[in-house]
This record gives sequence, structure tokens and C-alpha cells, in this order.
Amino acid sequence: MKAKINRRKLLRTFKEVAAIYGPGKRERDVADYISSRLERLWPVSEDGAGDAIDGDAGNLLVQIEGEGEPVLFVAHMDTVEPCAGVKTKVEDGYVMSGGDTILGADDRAAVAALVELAEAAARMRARRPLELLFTVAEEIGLLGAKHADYAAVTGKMAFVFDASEPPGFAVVAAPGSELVTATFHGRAAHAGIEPEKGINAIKMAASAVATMRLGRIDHETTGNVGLISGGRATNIIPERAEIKGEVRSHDPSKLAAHVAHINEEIKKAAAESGGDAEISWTQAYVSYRLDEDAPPVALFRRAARAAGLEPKFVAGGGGSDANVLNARGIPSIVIGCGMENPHTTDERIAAASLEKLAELATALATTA
Amino acid sequence: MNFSKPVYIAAFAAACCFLTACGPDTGGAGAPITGTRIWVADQPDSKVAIYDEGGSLLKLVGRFGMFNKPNSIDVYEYDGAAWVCDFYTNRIRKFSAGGNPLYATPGQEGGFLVRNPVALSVSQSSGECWVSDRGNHRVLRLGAEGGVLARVTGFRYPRGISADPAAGDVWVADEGNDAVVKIAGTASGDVPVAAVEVGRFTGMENPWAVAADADGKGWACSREAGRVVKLSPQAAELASVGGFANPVALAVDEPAGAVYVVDAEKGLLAALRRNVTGTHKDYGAVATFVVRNLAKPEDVFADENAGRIYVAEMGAGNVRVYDRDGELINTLGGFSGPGALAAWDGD
Repeated sequence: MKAKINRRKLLRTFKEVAAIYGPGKRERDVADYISSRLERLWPVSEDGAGDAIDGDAGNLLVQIEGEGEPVLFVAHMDTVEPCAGVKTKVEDGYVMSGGDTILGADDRAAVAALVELAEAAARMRARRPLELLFTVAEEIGLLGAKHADYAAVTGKMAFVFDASEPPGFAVVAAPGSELVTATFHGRAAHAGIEPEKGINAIKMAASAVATMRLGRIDHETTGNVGLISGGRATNIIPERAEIKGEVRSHDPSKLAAHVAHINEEIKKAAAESGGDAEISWTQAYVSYRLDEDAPPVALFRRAARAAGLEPKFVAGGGGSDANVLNARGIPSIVIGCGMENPHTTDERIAAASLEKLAELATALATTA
Repeated sequence: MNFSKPVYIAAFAAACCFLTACGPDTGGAGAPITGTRIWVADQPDSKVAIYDEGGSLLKLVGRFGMFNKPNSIDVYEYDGAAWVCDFYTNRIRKFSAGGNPLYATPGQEGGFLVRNPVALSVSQSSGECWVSDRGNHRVLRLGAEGGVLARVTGFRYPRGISADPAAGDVWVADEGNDAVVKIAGTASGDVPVAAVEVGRFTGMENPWAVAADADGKGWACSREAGRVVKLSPQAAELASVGGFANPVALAVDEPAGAVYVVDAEKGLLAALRRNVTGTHKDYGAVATFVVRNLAKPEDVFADENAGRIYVAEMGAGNVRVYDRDGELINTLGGFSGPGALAAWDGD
């Protein structure tokens, strides 16, 4: 006997969970929904991540006993804004929002699939032990995964249900990322009376940005400055300006090299202007790359075929909870969920993708 | 509230024999409790409390932290003793009619007899308690005074359980095996289910709740199939009633000739005729009444002596009390999320 996911129920669950307001650090209602569905079936616990990040909920861990090596399935509970009052509709086989909000398929489609998986798990034969980790604050810096209580996790490999590719795809490599904040310090002066006395911090920042190599650096490295601010008034030479940017690379040595390059350009621009600059780097996440025979890759290959999908492996360009898990020594890949136009009000997901995602989750749970 | 009548009865006095601490059967104020007691498990708050018919709190049962998501309650009509099933503390606890602790299965220090239990049912013929020990894939028969009389193994994630009020046989929803199994109430010792099986029904996916008739028949519902089946004493299908979306609890009311079903998704309470036969796609054709617009009802209990039907309306934080015509008699409010209940009329 092999329990099947109930399509009607899956769609209903997705609509219910998509309608719950829950941006990063405000996932309480999502967590309560999941708990109410699962806590009478399997042990559900909540860790202290909420307190650690000043959110209103922690990560939820659902532990489902089984036979063999435990695996970890991960989905994040938060969505990006605008996510208040999401109203779903189904047209031409797609689930979409009313157009004034995101849909939240990223990552509520995965949440729905895993809730349905848990409800059907008792009736699945030869099922391995499962741990479902529903994380908080993924969209605002992977904060839930970073603060999760891993002492409670026993899974030896993880599948993070969070890629926008269609079901059947898996992201087996992702870049690491470093975030930079540079604050340029010049000298204020009246712009019309004595500009000679001033050192323009905005000009300093602009010089630095102008000489930085940004955009696509090579096939696996990118750089960007995304925010700039400074100044107080048009008649004051700005004494302070700030830029924020990032570097990503699949290759840690290239990541380090480009970080050094950006440091150098900032310092050079400051020195040439007679000012100075403070530079602060924060590691957003660490890169990973799994071999084709790594346990989660091998299991995914078998499970995808069992679910009637041709497995495809790609390298991703963004970070996810898998970066954190891999850095913690839990080999992890990211599963394609089939959400289209994520993070926009045009976001949608095919009902067929939702079903396939649930079937794939079942196959990952039961395929030898 | 009337605190004037003493509640001691012979059976309760006898039960005290094995207690370590058993004082007078009183409420929080120290006076004996009389009249109808409604036991409610408020799940989000992980507390169990006793209320009177008017909704006044008679007693908060147990000490702080005793419960963690209590999920099933049943009472022994003879003396009003209540058994409570608690999922996260892995304990089964028995209380007197007044809410004083009588017995608990071993906790961590004793190695936990049960693991993630999900349902229990008191045999009205013996006072014994049958437990769906889901995490251990077995069903337990606990003596009225607390010993383990039988461990029936071979289930796979058992869910609902209901003891036949007359013969004492027991119906079990064996969720992981997609089966509804009837076992002999005389099971004893460590015994595989096949050795005590009276009947097995495998015609319905994902059986969830069960209820036993006094004449040996059984009722079961399926969340997956959205239907309720009536089974012969040998577990053959006698009737099937569909049209439900998520039926989660059943209760038999012999005097009324009804079986009550609550559907958490459709938000309804339906009173099905007990004598129904055949297949019905929609419950409306075989229901004497249907109450709608309930918010996520999770449990139903029929007090056959008092003619009252109690519904735990988890989504609204209410306990609804109906008569046998489906007329609302009272609403007890202020709960966080009542998920299980039972009642005893006390007289």
C-alpha cells in the first residue's frame, strides 16, 4: 500500500496557508496553523529562534518516526511583502493572487506539500524517519536556519523545498555571499560660500563605486552595490555617505578576491579625496557544491524517477536555508517547487506543479 | 451551583484503595461537586478543567505542567471517573469525578508505558480503559485500578478507539493499515492483534474516529474519504454515508437512535439515524438534524442519560450544548481551543 496525496486537500491546504499573513519575524499564525494540523499526529516542537531574532515565532520541528536513516525536509514559513490579505484564485490550471499581493507560493507551496505529507505519513509503507523543519525569517537573511536548535535534528541529509525551478530540478550548488557596508567620512562646509573647506563624502562614494568591478565578474562570481545614501541638504557639502553591496561566488577564493578588490577601491577613493572610510563585511551565507554521488543527490535522482520526473541538477545563484545546513555539515540540496515570478504580485504556481511537488516529497520519503 | 450533595459512592471508595493520595472529592473551593460535570481539554493552553452546565469553572484539573496537548477524555458512567490522554507528556491519567488524581501511567522515571497516545475509551461494562498507544503501534487495556491488562500489538499508528458498552469488545481505527479492527475485550497479556481479532474492515482509506454501538456494531469515519461507515459486529459494511469533508469525531446515542458526526472542515454536527442501511452520497438524507456554521468542531460527546450533545468547537473557543433535536441549549465560551471533552450528569 502506498498512500497518495489527496489533490483536493492539498490545494485547499495551500490556499489556507497562503492566506495567512507572515512576513519575516511575523510567522506566528503560520506556525500555529501548522501546529494545529500536525501536533496530534506527530511530536511538534518550537525552538527559541523567535526570541533570538526578535520574531514572534521560532522554527517548528515535526518528527515523524520511520525505518532507516532520518532525512530532513525544510520549508520556510515567511514570505516577502506585500503579503497581507492574500486572496487566491485558480485560472487555467494556475493558482495566483488577486494581483495586489504576492501569492506566497514561495514558500507556502512547500509548506502545504509537507503538511499533507505529514498527514499521510502514517499510511506510507517503508518510509524513512522524517524531520520537517519549518523555518522563520528565511527571506530576510536565513535567520531562522541560522538560529535553529540543531541539537534536536537527527537528519543526516536535507532537502530544502525552496527553488523556483519546476519539480524535478534540484539546486546542488549555490554561491557564498558577503555583504558590505561602507561609510565614507568627509568634511561638511557651506556649498556656496566656502566649498573649498569641504570634502564631499558622496563624491567619494561615487568614485569608489565607479571604479569597482560590478555585475557579473565571471561565470560564478557577481558583485553589486544596491543602496547609497548620504547628505543633508543641497547647500551643504556632505560629510557622510554610505553604500551597501554584496559579493557572491561559488568559489570561496574568488569571493575573497572580490571582497579584497572592493575594499581596495573604497580605501583608494577615500584616500584620494582626503577623507576616510569605515568598511564592514558580514557573511550572509557560505557556498556549497555537492557531488553527484552525495547522499541527497543520489536519493533525489531515485525519488524523482519514482515520481515520474526526469531529475535535473543545476547551480543556483541565490542563498537559501541549504547554505546554512551545508555549512553545519548536513548535506543539503534545494528542490524545485515550480513557483513562477516569485517575489512579485504576478507570482503563480501551476496546480499540477503543486501536486507533483507533493508526489516528489512522498517519493523522497519512501524511495529506497 | 449546588454543593450540598455528597458524591461518594461505593465504586469510588473502592478506587481509593490504590491511591497514594485521595482526599474528599471536591472542587477548587473544597466543597463536594455535584450535578453535571463537563470535562474539557483546552489544547493550546494544555489544561483540563471541569465545568458545570452553566459554564462555571468547577475545578482546574491537575497541577501546572501536568498536561501538554491533552487530546482525549472519557468518563466511566458508574462513578464519573475520567481518563485523560496526553500526547506530549506520554501519560494516561485517571481522575475522580471531582478531578482528584487517581492514577497515571509511568512517566520518564518509569520508562513511559505509552508513547504519543492519541485516544482512549472507557469500557462502560468494566471501568477499564482502552488506549490507542500510537507511538508504540499498539492498543493497551488498562485496569480500572491502573494495571496493564493487555498489550495488543500489530497495529500501525492506531488512531480512534471505542469500547463496546455492552460486550466490552473494542473498535480500533488502524490508520496505518487503512483498517477498522474489532478486537475482543477479553484480550489479556501481550498478544498480537490477529489472536484477538473479531473482525476487520478494509474498505475505507485513512480511518480516523470510531464509535461502538451497544449491539456490537461499529461506526467509523474517514478524513480521506469524507464518509462514515456503519459496520456489522463482524466488521462488514452495513451502511455508508458520504458528503463529509473532514469528519473527525463520532458519538453514539442509543436512546436517541442516533450517531453524531462532527466535520471540522464543513463546520457541522450531523445526527445520523442509527438504523441507516445502504449507501448514501449525502448525509442530509439520513440525518435527523444538521447544525451548521460551527468553527472547526473537533470532538463530540453524547450524554445518553441527560440527553445532551456536547461539541468542542475548537475554532471559536466554545463548547456547544445541544438537545436531541439539535436545539442549542447553551454555549460555554472563553476557551482557547477545546479539542476533547466528555460529560457526566452526576446523578
